[in-house]
Amino acid sequence: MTEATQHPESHGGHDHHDGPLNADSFTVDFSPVRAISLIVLLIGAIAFGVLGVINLGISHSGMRDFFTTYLVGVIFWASLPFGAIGMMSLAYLTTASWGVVLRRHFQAAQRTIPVLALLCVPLIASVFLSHSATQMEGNISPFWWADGSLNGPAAAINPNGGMKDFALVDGKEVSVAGTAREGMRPEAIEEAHHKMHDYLNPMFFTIRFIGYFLLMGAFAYFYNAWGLKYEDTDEPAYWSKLRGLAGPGLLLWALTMTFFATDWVMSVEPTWASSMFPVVFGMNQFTTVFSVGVLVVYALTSGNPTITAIVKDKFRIDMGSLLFGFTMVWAYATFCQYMLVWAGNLPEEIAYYRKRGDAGWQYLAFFLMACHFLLPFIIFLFREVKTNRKVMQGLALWILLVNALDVLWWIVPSYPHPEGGLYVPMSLAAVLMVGGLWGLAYSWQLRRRPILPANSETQFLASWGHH
Amino acid sequence: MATATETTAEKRPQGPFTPHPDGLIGGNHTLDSIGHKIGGVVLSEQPTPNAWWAFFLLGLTLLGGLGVALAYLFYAGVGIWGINVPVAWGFAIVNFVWWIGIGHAGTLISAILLLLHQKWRTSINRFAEAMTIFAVACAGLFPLIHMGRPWLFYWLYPVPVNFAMWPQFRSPLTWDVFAVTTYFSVSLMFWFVGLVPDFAVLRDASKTRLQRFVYGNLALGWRGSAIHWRRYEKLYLLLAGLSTPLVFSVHTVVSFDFAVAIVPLWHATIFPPFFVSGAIFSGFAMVVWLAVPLRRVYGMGDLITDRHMELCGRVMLGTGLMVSYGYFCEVWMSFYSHSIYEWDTTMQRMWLGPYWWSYWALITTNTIIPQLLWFRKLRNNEWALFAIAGSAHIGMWFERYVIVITLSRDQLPSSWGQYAPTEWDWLTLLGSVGLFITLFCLFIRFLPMISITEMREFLPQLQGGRDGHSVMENAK
Repeated sequence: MTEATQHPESHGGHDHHDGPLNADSFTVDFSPVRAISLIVLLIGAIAFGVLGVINLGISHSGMRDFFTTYLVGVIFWASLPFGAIGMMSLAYLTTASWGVVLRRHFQAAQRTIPVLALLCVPLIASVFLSHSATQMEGNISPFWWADGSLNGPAAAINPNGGMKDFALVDGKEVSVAGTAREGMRPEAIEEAHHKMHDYLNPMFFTIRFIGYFLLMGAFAYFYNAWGLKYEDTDEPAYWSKLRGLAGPGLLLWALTMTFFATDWVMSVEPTWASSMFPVVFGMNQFTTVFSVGVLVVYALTSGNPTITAIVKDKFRIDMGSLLFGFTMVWAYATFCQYMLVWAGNLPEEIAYYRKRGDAGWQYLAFFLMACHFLLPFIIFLFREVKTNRKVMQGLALWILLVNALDVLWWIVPSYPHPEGGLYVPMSLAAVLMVGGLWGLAYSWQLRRRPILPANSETQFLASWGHH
Repeated sequence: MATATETTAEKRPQGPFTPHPDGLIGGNHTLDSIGHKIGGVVLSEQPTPNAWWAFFLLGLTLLGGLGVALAYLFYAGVGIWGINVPVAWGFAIVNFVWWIGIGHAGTLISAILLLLHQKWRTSINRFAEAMTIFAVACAGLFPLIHMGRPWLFYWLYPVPVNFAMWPQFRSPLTWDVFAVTTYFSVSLMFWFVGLVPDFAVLRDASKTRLQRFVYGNLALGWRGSAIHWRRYEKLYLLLAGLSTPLVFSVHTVVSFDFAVAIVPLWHATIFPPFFVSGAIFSGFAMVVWLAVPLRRVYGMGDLITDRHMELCGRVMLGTGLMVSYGYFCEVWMSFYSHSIYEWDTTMQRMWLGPYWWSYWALITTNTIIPQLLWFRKLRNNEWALFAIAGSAHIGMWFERYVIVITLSRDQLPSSWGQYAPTEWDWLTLLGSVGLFITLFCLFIRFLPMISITEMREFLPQLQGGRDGHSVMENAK
C-alpha cells in the first residue's frame, strides 16, 4: 500500500512509458490451478468421507462433526470471495500497485460468490433439520441454537459444555455439568433463550445469509464489470466509478463481515460475544486472500519474462510488507481479545478460552502463537524474503495452513468430545475438499483473461522508476 | 543561507519551474528559497508576525490560569474538582486521554508514513512531531495532578532495592506509565535526530553569536559528510521502526485502563483498535488546526499545500469511520449478547440516563459531521476542513467523557450518582490548552517548523532536490 499507481491523468510528471503493452505477452498457462484443485478435491473428499465414517463409530456427535468440520472448510474459503471485495476496495482507494498485480486474482475470486453460496446450503439445511429434530435425534448442526430441543422450558444452556447440562448416553439423560456449578448467571440462560428468539433462529439466519450474498454479490458484479471496461477502454469515467465504489465498498464489507462472522462463527458459542472478533476474522480473510493471490500469481508468472520485469522488487516488497502488516494486526487483535477476556474472567466470556485451553486444544493455541505471529514476524523482517518469489510462495502456503488451523480453533472446540474423535483431520480434509471445489470454480474464472491488465495501470508499473 | 549540503552558486537552478505533479510543493522553490523561507522565521530574517504575539499571549494567559488552578489544587487537594464516587476519575482522565490521542498523529506521520513511502508526510512531519511531544506533556500532567500527592510520582516506578516499592503490575495504569514515558522519550529522540541537520543549517546561517552557540551545540558537530548522512539515515530508519509499534501500544494500553474492568460498555474487546483509530483521528484534526495558521500567518501554503490538507481530510474520514464502527460495535454487541447489563447500560447512555445528550453530542460531532469529508469540495476548502476538525476535537473529548460518566449509573440504583465538573476542572482543562499553545508558539519561533533538509531533498531534481526522501529512496 505504498507507492501509488495513479490514473495517468493525475500523474503527468511520471508518465514514462516503455512502449505499448501487448496483452499476448501476459498470457500464462492456467492449467496447473485446475489440476491442483482437482487433485486436492479428490484427496479432500475421500479423506473427509473415510474419516467421517470412522468418526461415526467413535464420537457420539459423529453426524454433527460432519457439518461442524465442513463449516471450517466453508468459512476458510469464504475468505476468498469476501476478502477479495474488501481488498479490492482498499486497492482502489489507495491506488496501490498490488491492486494491479493481483487484480485478476481478486476479480476471479469475487466471481466465485455463487459457488460459495451453494457450498453454504448444506449447513443451512443442517440448521433446519436440527430445528425440527426431536431430542433423541439430537443436533446435527454446528450451531447450538439450531437444536430444536432447546425450545422447551426445561432446557438449559451451558457455556462450558455446549448446549445442555445433560447428555444422552445410551438413551439415558446424564448430567454433564450443572449450570450453577459452572458459575453461570441464571440470567445468562434466559438471555441465550431471548437471543434465539430475536436473532439466532433458522429463518432469520437464512434471510440474513441471502442479504449478505446479494450485497457482496452486487459489489463483485460492479468491480468486475467496471474494472474490465476500464481496462479495455482506459476511460477515466470508469476509473471514477470504481473509486467511488471503493469507499462504500470497504465500509459495507466491514459491516457485512461483522454480521457474517457473528452469525456463522461467533454463534457456535452460546454466550460468547466479542466485538474484537470481526477484526480477527477480517484479518484472517485478508491474509488468506492475499496469500492465495501471491501463491497463484507468483507461481503462474514465474516463466514469463515480461511479467517478471514488470513486477519489480519494489512491488514485491510492498506485497510482502502488506502481508506482514496484516499478520501483525491479526496478532494484535487476537492478543488484545484474549488479554481482555482473561482479565475480565466473566463466565459467559471465559468459557470460549477455557474450552480452547483444554482437552489438547491448548497445543493448537501455542502453535498459533508461534507460527501465526512469531515466525512470520521474524521472517518478514528480512527484505530479501519479500523479493524472493520462491520463499514468498512458501510463506503464503504457510500462512494459509495456519489460517486454516485458526478457523478450526474458532469453531471445532465449541462442543465437547469426551470420547475423542477424528474432528481435527476431518476439518483439514474439509478444508481440502471445499478448497478443491472452490479452486475449480476459481480456475474457470481466472483463465478468462490475461493475468495482468494490458492498460495504463500496468503501463505505469512497467515504467515505474524510469526517470 | 550557505550550507554544506547546497550546490555551488553557479549550478543553482533558476525558475520558473513546472508545477509539482502531485501538488505537494509549490512556489517555484529552490534550495536557497526553502532555507530562507523556513530558517528565516527562526533567525529573525522577517519580523515576528503580530498574530504570533496574539497566540503567544493567549497561551500565556491560559497557562497562568493553569498555574492558579494547580497552586490551589496543591493547597486544597483534589476535592476542589467535581470527582466523587461513583465517577472518581472525571475530567482528569478525560483530558489525559484526549491529549494523548492528539499526540498520536505526529509519530504516525513521521514514522509510519515514512515506512509506507508516503512522500506527503515530509512537509508536515516536523510540526506534527512537536505537536505530539507537547500534547503528551499536557496529557502527562493530568495523572500526575490527579494523584493528590504529585511529589510522590516516583512511586509509579518499581524501586525495589532502595524503597521496597513494587507497583501492581497487573494494573494497566502501571503499564500506562511505561507506555507513555517510552512514547515520549522515543518521540523526543526521533524529533531531535530529525532536527540535527537543520540545526547545522541554522548554525551556518546564524546572525548572532548566541544563535551560533545554541544551534551549533544542538547540531552536535554535523558537517554533512557522507558518513554523517549514512549514519543519520540508518538511525532515522531505525527510530521509525521503533516508533511504529509505539503508535499502537500507547493508546492500546490507555484503552486497557477501561476495558480490563468488568464495567458494562467498558469491558469491550474492540476498545484497543477503537482507541487507536480515535487517537489518529483527533491527531490529524489537530494537524489541520495547526496547519491553517501556519499557512495563513507564515504563508506556508506553498509547502503545506492544498493537497496536504486534502490528504489530512481523507485520513480523518477513514479514521473517523473506524471510530464510528466502534460506536456501532458497542451497540451491536450489547444487542447480540443479550446481556441485560450491557443493554441496560447502553439504554442509560443513549436515552434513559442524565447524560444522554452527551452521547448524541458525540455522535453528531464525531460521526455525522465528519461525513462531510466524503465531498472533495469540502476537503479542498481550508475553512470547511478547519470546522470539521473542530468538530472532531469536540467529539473526541466527548467520547472519553461519555465513557467516564458511564459510572454514574450502574445496576444498583442506590449507588447511582451524578457528576458535574467545577470551575477548577474547566480552568485546568483550559490551562492545559494554554500550555500547548505556549509551547507550540515557542517552537515555531525558535525551531524550524518544517524540515529544511527534508524539504530540500523533496524538491524536484530540476529545482536542485532529489525528488524524494533519502530514507525512502535509499531503502529501496
